[in-house]
Amino acid sequence: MKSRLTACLTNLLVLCSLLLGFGQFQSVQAAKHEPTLKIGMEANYPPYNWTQTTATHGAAPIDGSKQFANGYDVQIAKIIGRHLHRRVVVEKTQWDGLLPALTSGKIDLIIAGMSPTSDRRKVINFSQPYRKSTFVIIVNKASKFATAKGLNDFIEARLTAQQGTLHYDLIKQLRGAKRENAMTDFSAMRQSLQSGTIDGYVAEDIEYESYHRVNKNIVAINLSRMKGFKVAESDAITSIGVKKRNTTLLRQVNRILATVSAAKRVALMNAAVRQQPRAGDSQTTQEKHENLFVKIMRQYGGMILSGVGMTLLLALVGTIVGFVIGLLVGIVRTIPTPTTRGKRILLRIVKWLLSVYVEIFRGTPMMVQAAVIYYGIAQLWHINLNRTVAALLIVSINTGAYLAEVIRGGITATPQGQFEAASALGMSHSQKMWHIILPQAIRNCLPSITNEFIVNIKDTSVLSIISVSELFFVGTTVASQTFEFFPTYFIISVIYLILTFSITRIFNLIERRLAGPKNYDLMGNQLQVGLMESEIQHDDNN
Amino acid sequence: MTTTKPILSLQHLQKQFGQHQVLEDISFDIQQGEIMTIIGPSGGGKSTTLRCINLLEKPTAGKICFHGENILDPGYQLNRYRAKVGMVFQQFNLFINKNVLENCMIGPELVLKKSPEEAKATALGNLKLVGMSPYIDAKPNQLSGGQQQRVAIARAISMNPELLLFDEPTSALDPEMVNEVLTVMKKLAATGLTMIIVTHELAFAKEVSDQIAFISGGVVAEAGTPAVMLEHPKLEATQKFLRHFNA
Ligand SMILES: Nc1ncnc2c1ncn2[C@@H]1O[C@H](COP(=O)(O)OP(=O)(O)OP(=O)(O)O)[C@@H](O)[C@H]1O
Ligand SMILES: [Mg+2]
Repeated sequence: MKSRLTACLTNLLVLCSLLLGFGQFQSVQAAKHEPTLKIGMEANYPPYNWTQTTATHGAAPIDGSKQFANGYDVQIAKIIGRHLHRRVVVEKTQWDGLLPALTSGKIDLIIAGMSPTSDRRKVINFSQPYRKSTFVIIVNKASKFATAKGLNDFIEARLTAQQGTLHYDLIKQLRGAKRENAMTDFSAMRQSLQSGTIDGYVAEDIEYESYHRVNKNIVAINLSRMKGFKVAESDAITSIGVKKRNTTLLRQVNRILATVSAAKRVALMNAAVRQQPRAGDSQTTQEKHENLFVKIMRQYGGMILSGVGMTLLLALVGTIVGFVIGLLVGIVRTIPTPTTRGKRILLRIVKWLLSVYVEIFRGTPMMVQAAVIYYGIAQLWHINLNRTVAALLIVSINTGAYLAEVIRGGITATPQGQFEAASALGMSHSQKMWHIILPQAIRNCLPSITNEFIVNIKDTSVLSIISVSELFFVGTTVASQTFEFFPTYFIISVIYLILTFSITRIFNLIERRLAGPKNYDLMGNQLQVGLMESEIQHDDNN
Repeated sequence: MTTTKPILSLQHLQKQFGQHQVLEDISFDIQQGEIMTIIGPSGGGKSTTLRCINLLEKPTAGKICFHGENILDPGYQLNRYRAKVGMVFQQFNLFINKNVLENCMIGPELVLKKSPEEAKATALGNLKLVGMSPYIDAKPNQLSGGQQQRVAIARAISMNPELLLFDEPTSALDPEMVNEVLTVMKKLAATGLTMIIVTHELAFAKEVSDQIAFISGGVVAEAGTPAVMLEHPKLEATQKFLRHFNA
């Protein structure tokens, strides 16, 4: 039975890697031997940067995937790369992860439509601007705010902007406006505006240009030209971020930027606005709407499947390794007090450390753990962990902390008589554990372990913070490329449901197998049994 | 009889649980091949005495000498000792994750390092002795109490112990199953195995015992041959205890 279980797990792992083969793992291996120039960007902020599935229009490859990034930022990056004789590779990174990625050395430059605010200048250096911006508020044409002229015309308007950006602070200058929670990306803001949960959002003129190409029902209200509107010079420009100590690179970047003329910049931006991904022309007609799911699956099916593979891999390996960790921790935490003093002190220290581990990882969100571990390790020890490895590590350690408690509970819940009977036979502590207690404890814990597996399937979505291409991350990318939020996320949620549902079934089956057959066969026939019993009675009468 | 060295000798054994002195002074000797029965009122310390002998509890003072060596001395090979002293529990305590045969094989295999074939042969022999051969594939929870206790006895004797302890082996059983277990125990008694039995089955005690000890209030209040102890006990307390049972 054990071997069948192992076979079952191996099959699942094979399935994972097969699914991953659909796009993920094949990292971009250059034929050229030029050193790389790693550029950090969201690849989700058109027209500055976006993700596409082909290499057209001079796109640059995204590290660790089969996808490509393009946009104004990418074109600027390529100019810099050409001058430095380095091959541009895009490190797709969430907005909040950009600064830590740069300071920890995971990327060489941030070219992500970022403004050199004074806060950011404290942490990193910025180049000369490569673009100057105009600020606008984007509202629906039908909205009563569409005709706003001054800073006082936004009373009661529900406004938002991207999290951690200057845009969000600008809302404060609009008297009486209600500042809604900041959002993580522009796709989400577009969707909110369309669905009416907000009245408008602050962005740059260029965001209006791009959005207007796909949605004619919006207007932009120019903030920069309003009377009394204040914005620091450094905020209205976009610059390239360089690590503080890396002054040579900063000087080189500035020198190269100086060679790019204003006309060339405008041309590049216009090209980017033209080439950026846009929603299909299927937006309005009912009939085409019905085929959306099919269309998304046909176009992005491989990507989504590889996301499924990554999610399964993370959850499966995380649960198995976490189980082993939990088992070891659970065992150590239930070792009885030894007799010699030295061993007793050592055990107490180890137990204390383990409870610290359990408390920390159960007491903090996995998302935070991921950010701390991924960026922390790079910053402190200059070890550049592969994203997938980091994700596997985090899920395993996190699951281990949960399962340690579960298994400890299972061990303590095993009846005292089982320990005593084993002791009476002269078994050592480890023999008692492996042969008697743990098999019982694990069987009793199996429902909790199943539960942890399912939680892992869902919760690995928070690992998008370190840009692991699991199912949710892929969903976000697809949604921002197609602008079809509902259908994409609907497909994603159905896939999650199928995954969790089938895993529950599989584990129920395993549980039933482990319980063994309900009935036993008597060795020999009933007559013989009767004989045995009467034999005993007979002796009794003697 | 008194000239031979006792296989087990308890000397002024004491056990304290926190502030509660449960065993005050337990002393007795048992010779090779002897069967000793312990009787006494509830809470008197009978189970605690057995559990101390098997080191499930650590005595707070006194000596437990096995073949003349004090097992409480530091450096004594405890696991080796435990393997030679078996125990049958009131609640059977069969390993619920193992079937009947595995229950009887695991001790010899793991502790005595016997080969699986050898362990299996011994186990099958002992299961036959207790009349449980037909049930070797059954899991403990698929058996009646009496059947479980017989398997527990087979498990204990599969270790080929020098001393076997019984703590009220029939108290948890329905009356109709008591006899099947007592019968097995009588068979064992006939093999010359040294046994210490805590029981309330006085007729059985009278039949098999070489000596009976009356433990009450944490001391061996009185001890002697079954004839003396059951017919003409000296102490008032013993008489009262027996009256209660004979009534
Ligand atoms: N682990 C323990 N902690 C504290 N007190 C205990 C413990 N085990 C036993 N005792 C106490 O020790 C006393 C003797 O208990 P013991 O089980 O030895 O009695 P007994 O003679 O076997 O009684 P019975 O016939 O009811 O089984 C009781 O008062 C009991 O409450
Ligand atoms: Mg008792």
